[in-house]
Amino acid sequence: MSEFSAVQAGLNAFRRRERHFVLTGATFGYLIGSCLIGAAFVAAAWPALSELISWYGSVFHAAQNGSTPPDPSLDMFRAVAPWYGGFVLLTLIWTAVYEAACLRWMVRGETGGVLGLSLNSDTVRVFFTYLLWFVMLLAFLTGVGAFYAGLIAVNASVPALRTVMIIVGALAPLGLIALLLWVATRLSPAAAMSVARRKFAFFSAWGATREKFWDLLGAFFIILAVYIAVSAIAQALVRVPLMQAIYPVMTQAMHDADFASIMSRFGEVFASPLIAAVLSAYVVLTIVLSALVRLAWFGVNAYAVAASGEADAVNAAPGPQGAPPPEQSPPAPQGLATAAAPITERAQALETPPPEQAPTSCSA
Amino acid sequence: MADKQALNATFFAFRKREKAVLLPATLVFAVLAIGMFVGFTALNWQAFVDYMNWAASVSASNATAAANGTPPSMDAMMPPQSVMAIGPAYLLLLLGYYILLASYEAACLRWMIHGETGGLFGLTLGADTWRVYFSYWIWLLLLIVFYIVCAIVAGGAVASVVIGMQGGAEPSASTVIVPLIAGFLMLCALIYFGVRFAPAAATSIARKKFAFFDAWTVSKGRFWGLLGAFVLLFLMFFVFVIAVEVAFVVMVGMSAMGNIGHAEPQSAEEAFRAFATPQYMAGVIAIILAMSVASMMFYVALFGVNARAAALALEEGKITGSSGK
Repeated sequence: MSEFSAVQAGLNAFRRRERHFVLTGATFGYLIGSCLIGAAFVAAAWPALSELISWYGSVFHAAQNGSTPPDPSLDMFRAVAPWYGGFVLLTLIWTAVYEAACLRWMVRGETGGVLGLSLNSDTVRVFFTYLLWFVMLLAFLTGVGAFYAGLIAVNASVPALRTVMIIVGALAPLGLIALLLWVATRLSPAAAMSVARRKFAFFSAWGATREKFWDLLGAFFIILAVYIAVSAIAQALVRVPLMQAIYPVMTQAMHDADFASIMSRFGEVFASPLIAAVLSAYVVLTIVLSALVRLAWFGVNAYAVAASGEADAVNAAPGPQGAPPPEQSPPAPQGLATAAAPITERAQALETPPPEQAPTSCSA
Repeated sequence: MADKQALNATFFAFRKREKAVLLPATLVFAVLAIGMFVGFTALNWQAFVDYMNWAASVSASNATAAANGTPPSMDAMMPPQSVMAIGPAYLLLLLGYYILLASYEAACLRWMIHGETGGLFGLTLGADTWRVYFSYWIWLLLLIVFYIVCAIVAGGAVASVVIGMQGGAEPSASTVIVPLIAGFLMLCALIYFGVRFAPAAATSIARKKFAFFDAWTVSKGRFWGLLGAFVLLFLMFFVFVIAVEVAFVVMVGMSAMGNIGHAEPQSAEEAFRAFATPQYMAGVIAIILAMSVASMMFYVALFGVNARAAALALEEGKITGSSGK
């Protein structure tokens, strides 16, 4: 295994592969599915949502008239809560379908289902990975609470330790954030590892990222920097025509603060062809950018798995660190040696990395 | 790996080389940068005029309102459209300027590390430029991270002081010392990480690929050498700045005193007239020129320090040209 490169890891998702547009297809499928889920949520929860929206509008209206805004009714939130819970659960499952499809292709070189998306054991593994992340976050927050409670208790009961407690209290947030970052980075390829091993192997990511922490963090950092850079440039470009268009409305707002007429003028501005086109382009760019960031993120994790020599791990007996294989996991559809082949190829490919200034072609 | 050599980086940029590349590159950069800012000013001249008029009208409106005992007019507060539009336009100017700066830095580093040149007196829009440009974005992100870390530490210090005061305890010395120590540690961390990553752009040029974080390898074992070079350059620059400003004040002050005739100026107009002289204008132009030249030399010297560190790392085998570490 040659050098683990943060740049290569960041670009891994966009490397030329034997088949083109697998990840693009999956991403399109994911975006379409997400829109459908959102639309279904709005349609199903509309009676409950409309009440909430009416209340929100009445708050604005009250603010405009200078009257007291009405208190929200708890029943409104109770009516929306089950629908919202269902929406979150469905979104999580759908995201797991998408991540599993991307990882299956990048780690094992396999595809299948509709646009690569399928509800199978890989999806279940990725979904349980999400749940475990959530549980770990709750445990961390509980630990932080317990830590500070202990600090306050010691401080109150042993005044002699006050200075030590102050120093510990001052440095603790930094240490806790560093701990969170370290553990999250070390375990970030958890889903990729589960897909690679065809079993739930969350904690085996720890071994895969040994001595690669800084490179992985660097890769995530680079992805974040690209995202911020492109977003900032796009925002700067959008602001020029937007500022020209909304200035007259802002001037009107200074003259007379008639809320309804100002909102109507804003509506006219945003409905004008130029501004509508600019904002639509911006929304499309934002969606594409967020999809690319998500893919790059998956790519880093797939790269980490490939770089860990996971080909050997696939052939080896189940490690002690992972959770027991889930019952619903079907037997591997092919021999282990065959299953390991794409990873081996990837590991070999890493030995001779291509020129890495920039991806010459985006064949995702 | 070769033996470790002395850094000797402070004046690396000014070493005699076979060709004069840095001076033409610097001049072209200066001309293009001035051209960009002049072009921006010309395109937005009306906005500057509108801003001055708007500022004057706001001031007059406030004075009238204060005299009448009424609230200031909200209409007058609204800046003109041209002034509002200048912000986004300035952001775009900065984007362009930093691409130019990246092209210049890449040209200097390419010459000092690899002895290569090309393009418009060394300035190109090639891969090296984009590597350096992206380094700037990484620096920006690192700065944001640093601010977040500062906020976390400050929050922790405040929380710890609050915890220390629990139960109505008297404030102790530690409630003052702990935040001070935390601030000092953050400053030390900023300097340490700043120096360790300083050769990031040079490392990318040396490796001919984006390798920001390999700067850590380049600066390994050379922290004090790099810090010493930077401190020396900063000190020299500041001494020069102070010397120029003192000379300017003395020269212009004596000229103004001569015009006023040793008498106190009776009005602001009289004081302004005393400075509206050819000597004063010549002094202003001279100081701008001197400061510009000093700033450019300072920048090139900084590039030189980083280039030297990266070049040594290449020689010593700490990093390699194209792949591998």
